[in-house]
Amino acid sequence: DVWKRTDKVNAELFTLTYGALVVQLIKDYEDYAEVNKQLDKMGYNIGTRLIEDFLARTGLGRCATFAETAEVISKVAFRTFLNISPAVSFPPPTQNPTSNLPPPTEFILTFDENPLAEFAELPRDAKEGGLWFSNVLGGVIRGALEMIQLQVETEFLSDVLRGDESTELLVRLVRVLDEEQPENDE
Amino acid sequence: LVDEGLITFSSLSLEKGKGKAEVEEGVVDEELTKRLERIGLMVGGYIAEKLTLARPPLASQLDVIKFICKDLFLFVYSKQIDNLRTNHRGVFVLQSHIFPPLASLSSHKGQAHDQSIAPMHLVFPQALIQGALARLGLPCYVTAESSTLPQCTFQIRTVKS
Repeated sequence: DVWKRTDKVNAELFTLTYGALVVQLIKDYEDYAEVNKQLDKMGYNIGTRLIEDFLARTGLGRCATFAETAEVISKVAFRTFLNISPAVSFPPPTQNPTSNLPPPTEFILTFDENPLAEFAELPRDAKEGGLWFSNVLGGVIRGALEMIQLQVETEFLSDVLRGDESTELLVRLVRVLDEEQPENDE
Repeated sequence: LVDEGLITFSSLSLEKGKGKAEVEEGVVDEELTKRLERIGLMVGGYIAEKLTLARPPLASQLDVIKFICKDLFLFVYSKQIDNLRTNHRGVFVLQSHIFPPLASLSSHKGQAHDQSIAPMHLVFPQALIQGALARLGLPCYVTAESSTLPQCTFQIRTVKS
């Protein structure tokens, strides 16, 4: 019940602000691919800071497997910050058929509700241009996990705003980074 | 309801992310201010529309300002404005003793530095108010200042039409 303890802000305000931010970005760059990139970058910057807040608040320890990480992201992190809990699913492993049951290295978050896109509707132009409206989420996860030595790639697979049936975000583990001692650290 | 921290973080990242080829810091700040302002104006308008949807029209100028102090501030910052004054000639002064966006402002560089970056955090709220008022048919200029953190004063100067 950690998420109940903190100051809350009106969700509609947040949604509207995010929407206005995306509009502003589109005006600035006039290129949807570039907007996606910027949203991801912003998300990354948010994530690298957010993880600290998250750890301080929850006091959670290290996850044993990447599957556990996925559960924590969905059940604790999203619950804490956005008050939603996207469903976690693991796609059947495509590579390394050698080991009979490899630990999952990727997972898909399926958003039943998405507070970012509550009032949003994409014009046809944006759909064709390939805008991922909620791309900031992928960036946040990437930034946050990188701070705890997990390098991941994130990618939206589908979005209800584009007319798909569900909104799905794929998170793929690239590698576990080594914990390095900073140079000249005494 | 979503976590308050997120908004703070997003404005921070806006600050970081806006590196669109500007080299000098002053230019970045200026551009950032402009963008924050536009986003604020837009959001202010939306909120004003949302909140006035199911209520009788606001009759006088004072009603509109009161609506901002009460409803809009309650909606955005979960608290009302603490003090409202006017000279009855189109200037209103709104005062908040503990303004939420400034309440958690603190850095390792000390009080003076916090004070100096406070205006950046007031760009959005002030544009928000201006946008809402414009949408309610009361074009005006809004300026915000904070003499001592986390107190904040908004001055609304209506434009004669």
